[in-house]
Amino acid sequence: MTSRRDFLKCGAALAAATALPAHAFAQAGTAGAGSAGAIFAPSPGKWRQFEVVTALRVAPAEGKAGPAQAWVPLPSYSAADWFKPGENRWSTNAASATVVTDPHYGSQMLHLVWAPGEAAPAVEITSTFATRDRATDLTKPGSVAALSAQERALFLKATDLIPTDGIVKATADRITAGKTSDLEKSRAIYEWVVENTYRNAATRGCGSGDIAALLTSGNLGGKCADLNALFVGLNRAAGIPARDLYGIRVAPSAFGYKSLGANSPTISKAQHCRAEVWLDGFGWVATDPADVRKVVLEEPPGKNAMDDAKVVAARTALFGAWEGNWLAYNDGHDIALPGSSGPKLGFLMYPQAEVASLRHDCLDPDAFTYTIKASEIAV
Amino acid sequence: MTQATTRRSIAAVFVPSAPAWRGATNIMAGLVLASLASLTPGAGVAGVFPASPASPAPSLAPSPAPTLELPSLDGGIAGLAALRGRPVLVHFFATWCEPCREELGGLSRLAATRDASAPDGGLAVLAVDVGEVKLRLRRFLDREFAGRPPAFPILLDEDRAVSRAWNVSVLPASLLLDSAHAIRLTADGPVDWDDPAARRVLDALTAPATAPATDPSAAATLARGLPPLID
Repeated sequence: MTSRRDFLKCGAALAAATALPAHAFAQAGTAGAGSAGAIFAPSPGKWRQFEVVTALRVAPAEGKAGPAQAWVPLPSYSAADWFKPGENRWSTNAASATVVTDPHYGSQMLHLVWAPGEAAPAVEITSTFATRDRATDLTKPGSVAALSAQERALFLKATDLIPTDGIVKATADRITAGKTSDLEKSRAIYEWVVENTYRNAATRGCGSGDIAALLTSGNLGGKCADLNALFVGLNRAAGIPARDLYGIRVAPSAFGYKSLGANSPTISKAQHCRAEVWLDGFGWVATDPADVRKVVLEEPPGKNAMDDAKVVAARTALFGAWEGNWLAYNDGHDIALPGSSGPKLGFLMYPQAEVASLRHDCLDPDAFTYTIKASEIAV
Repeated sequence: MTQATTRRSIAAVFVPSAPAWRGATNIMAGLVLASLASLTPGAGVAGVFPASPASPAPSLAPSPAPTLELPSLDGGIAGLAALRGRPVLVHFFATWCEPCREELGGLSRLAATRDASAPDGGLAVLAVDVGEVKLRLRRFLDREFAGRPPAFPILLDEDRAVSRAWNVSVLPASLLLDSAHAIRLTADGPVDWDDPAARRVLDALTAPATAPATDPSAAATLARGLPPLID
């Protein structure tokens, strides 16, 4: 059965991760008894620099090698206090390679077009960036410059998959009833998402992010693109600017959480999206309710109770903080791929390619084919 | 690593207490729903999803089906318009959804056995693959249906616009349309199309001499709904 094969593949990948050197998981090694003293406390400190190499070979589709084109996300998000994209360089046999910027969100991608006769379309893109942990002390509002009217409007707006009316608005109203400040409301939404959703291992990729369907179904299972998009949509519906950031994990968790890091240099399937909410007096605040549910399901030994120390530590931290072991590509939605007649993307987190106008399955890197590798580079 | 080790790690990680796939009424918890509440005769799509306070109250009157026109797996554009005058089973699925995969075989057998020579052209089956690219679907069919492709056309709702318009929020979902293309029955979750009970429901819907809305016996058959597929 296909599902068995898929599960076997996933199981093998997870098992391989456990074979990493013990020092990478000093704390995870004490899971069980040790989880009583679990610590997950990101705080801004040393910047780390990473290099990510995305190697793409556009496989023939239905016997045709071309004409081929591809669109690869580039790190195009920046935040002075925690994320600085570096340079992108590439080598390719494409006839053209153009950096394209989405007009609404500024999301960047490398658009490659190969000559019709190219038998082996390929590109290798190297991107560098610097990042570090984030944490906001939510007990101490400061004097943060107000969000511009343009940005406020953009990050309150509905998207194709994140409506802010109907069931989303009704749910947000229920969750935030009686709360007065944006901080109270957003925290209530965070706690609600953590309490009422679950991570569904069978969801393909990171999920589709169709939050109205998620709420309507009454079955709130998914992965980060579902659960954090739900958090974002509920905040927007409550009048609080919020956004999804689409990216990829690049390094193990320094806090020993196996489920919250990339545990191998090959990160082809380590895509992860996080969320930010704008709170006056604090600015953009890091959040990641989906990762709390990931800890619940996956952190060894798995299927942890909500009062497990590791879950509690992650839940406490991930409204206001996250760890700097992750690359942020962009915060865009409804991204049109230039030169493609196919539909817009709900978000751009995976490399995309088409051969003879047939779009490859971006969630199947082995058939596509692409690999993404990450390494930390010395400053 | 041995196979046994791998399987143990799967059991530890991939047997969630929560439902095993997104959005579906599932085998562990959902089939009660699938066999009762979610099989809603005459309710139309809106009545099946009462979670939203904004949703209209369930209605017993058939509701007209939304437009359905999409690229076909075999090329070109296809949809309901060409099936005017025939009852249609519209089936939404995805290849990643395990109960969807299990249901497709029965659906194909159903499509192959319905009588196309009936006066009304017989029941037509129209499947819609939700949110997936054509290459993935092709690869899936080549692997799972090698040499015996499904006996119904498959349309591609790559950006989910049609499934949203049809208010599909769980997969698989099946909607039975009468020959006027009014929605008469909706099933969330997998249906056992080989079960004689399913065939009786389809007969009640498609019998040319009866109008199920006014014929008590046909209406009663429809009201019993479709049998869930229990693996």
